[in-house]
Amino acid sequence: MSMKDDFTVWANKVKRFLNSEECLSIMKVDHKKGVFKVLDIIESHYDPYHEGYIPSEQEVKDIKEVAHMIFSVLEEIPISEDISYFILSLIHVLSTWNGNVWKDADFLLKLQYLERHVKNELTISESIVTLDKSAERLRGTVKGSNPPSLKISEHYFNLLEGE
Amino acid sequence: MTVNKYFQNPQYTAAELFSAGYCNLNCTYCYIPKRPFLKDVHQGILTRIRNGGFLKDLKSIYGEDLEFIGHWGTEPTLSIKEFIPFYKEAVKVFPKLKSILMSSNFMIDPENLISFIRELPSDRPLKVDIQISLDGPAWVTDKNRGLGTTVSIIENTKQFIHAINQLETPHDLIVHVKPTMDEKDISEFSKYSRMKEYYVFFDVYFSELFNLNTNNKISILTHCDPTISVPGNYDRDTGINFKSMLENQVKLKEISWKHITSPESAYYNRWAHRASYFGELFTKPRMFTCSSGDTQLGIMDKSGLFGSCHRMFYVNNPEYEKAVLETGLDKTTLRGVSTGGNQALKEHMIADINNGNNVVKFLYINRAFHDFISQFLASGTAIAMELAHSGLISPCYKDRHLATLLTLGTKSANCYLDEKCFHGSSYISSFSYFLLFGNGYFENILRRSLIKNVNER
Repeated sequence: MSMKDDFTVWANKVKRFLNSEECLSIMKVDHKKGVFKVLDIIESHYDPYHEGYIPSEQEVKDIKEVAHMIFSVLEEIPISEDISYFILSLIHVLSTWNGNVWKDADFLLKLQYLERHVKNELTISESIVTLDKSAERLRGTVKGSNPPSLKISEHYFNLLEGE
Repeated sequence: MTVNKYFQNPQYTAAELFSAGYCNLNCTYCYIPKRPFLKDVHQGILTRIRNGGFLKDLKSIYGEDLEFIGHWGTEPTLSIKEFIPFYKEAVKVFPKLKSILMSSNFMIDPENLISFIRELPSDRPLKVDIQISLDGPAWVTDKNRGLGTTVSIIENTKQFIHAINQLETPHDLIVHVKPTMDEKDISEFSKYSRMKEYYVFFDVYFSELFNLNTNNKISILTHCDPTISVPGNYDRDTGINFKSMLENQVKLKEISWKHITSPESAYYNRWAHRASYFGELFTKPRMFTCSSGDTQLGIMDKSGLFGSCHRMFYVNNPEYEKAVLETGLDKTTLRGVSTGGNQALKEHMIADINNGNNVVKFLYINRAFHDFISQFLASGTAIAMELAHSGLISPCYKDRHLATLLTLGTKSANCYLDEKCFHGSSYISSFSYFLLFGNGYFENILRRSLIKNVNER
């Protein structure tokens, strides 16, 4: 199977999810557009494929943003079977592109980490780091929802005590 | 000690100043009895402007945190020129001050406002937002505000726009209209031809304003959808007319309007805007409540006193209460006087900055309303379900979840201080707003906002 054919098969799996109802539950419209854009970029790199092609800075930025978006989804949303299938398909598209075009070792490591995350195969140390980040986000949420009335309550209770 | 000293971050940054005590008009939906004592109130305000009383109180209440000043009360241009020395000092005392707002009926020589803008200190650019009280064509505005007012308002606003365009000012000037409707207007707007006439009127009006804005010195905001008068006493029939009116607005969107923002319900826009924050309804409910007592306070005509907002300006004036009892004009206060709700307002929603305990109690009560929403939603849900079972609003609100959403929907229109006065508790909504929104209007808004939300995602 040619590189382009392989891409088409996996890209279609990604697109099928993007056009589904469930996609609405995990992605904002901008993210959805971003994934479609990235698929177009990658397709343009295979059509025709030139060995040694160097992607532009903007193209790399767009692709990295999509990988980052998957990371956010994994952190925040319960992963159903369909979502898991979509993410693994997208990781396949991105890692194949990275192997053929960008050839960036850090990006490969990130994609491998995401794959392990979806498959629930994180190492203990990776799980600790992930939990730590989740806890930090939770602290942020709690702090953000800390209503000013709690602060004034302290003063009010002091006042009642005084009375 | 300023009010913000009680919090980790400044919560109160906006002030509504009691800037004028009597009015030059007597609008049909205005609840203030036009009695001679209003002139005395106005005189007291002028004294407070001139002797620096307002400035002193603002400093005590906000410290350096003040960002927004709104001129409220009756017609602010009756005293606005008096505020020029005030602002010369205010821009120095309040380094974060960035915005001035006022709502004028434009029935006074516009030179008052023009000279105010001309003489505003130019130390730094300020946003000056002027709201024009114009209700629509003569058959609405003249009915509500008095014979001949429509022509006068149009002429005065045109004169204002023209004069401002000849000025060199560093300030960022904005004008927008605020049309108000009562139940009779809603009945008229339920007829398609009347609703169309209304928007055609504003389309022509804005085209004339744009023609005069030759140097683009003013940003003219072009939305002109009518808003309901508050407090109002709305019944089921008005609710049904309100729904027909909304359907007319939706139909009128199909016309390609040249000078106005496409017709839409003002409440649809508020709802659709809030809908995107629903995930934070229980963690940041203040995003769904009015800014009164939340980020802003009303600075009264008596030294040191402030209330939740402009709604409190006349509440503790015995002459006002007497006039209400004699005329029966302010129905909410009238009921509040007999039930004790008005007394509760005086005790809980007004504080003296020089009395620390008083301030803490005021903040505690106001913050409790804005930071916790469950009680409000629970009582509203029960009321909506009961009304649905009684056949007074649509049967769909027998569903608990829809009843809760309707309660939240009415929140974009009602006033928690009116509720406190009327029922003695801010957590109970008046039937009036359920009857108005719950007879087809809110279902339409909800349906369209859900479709919009899905499409956007």
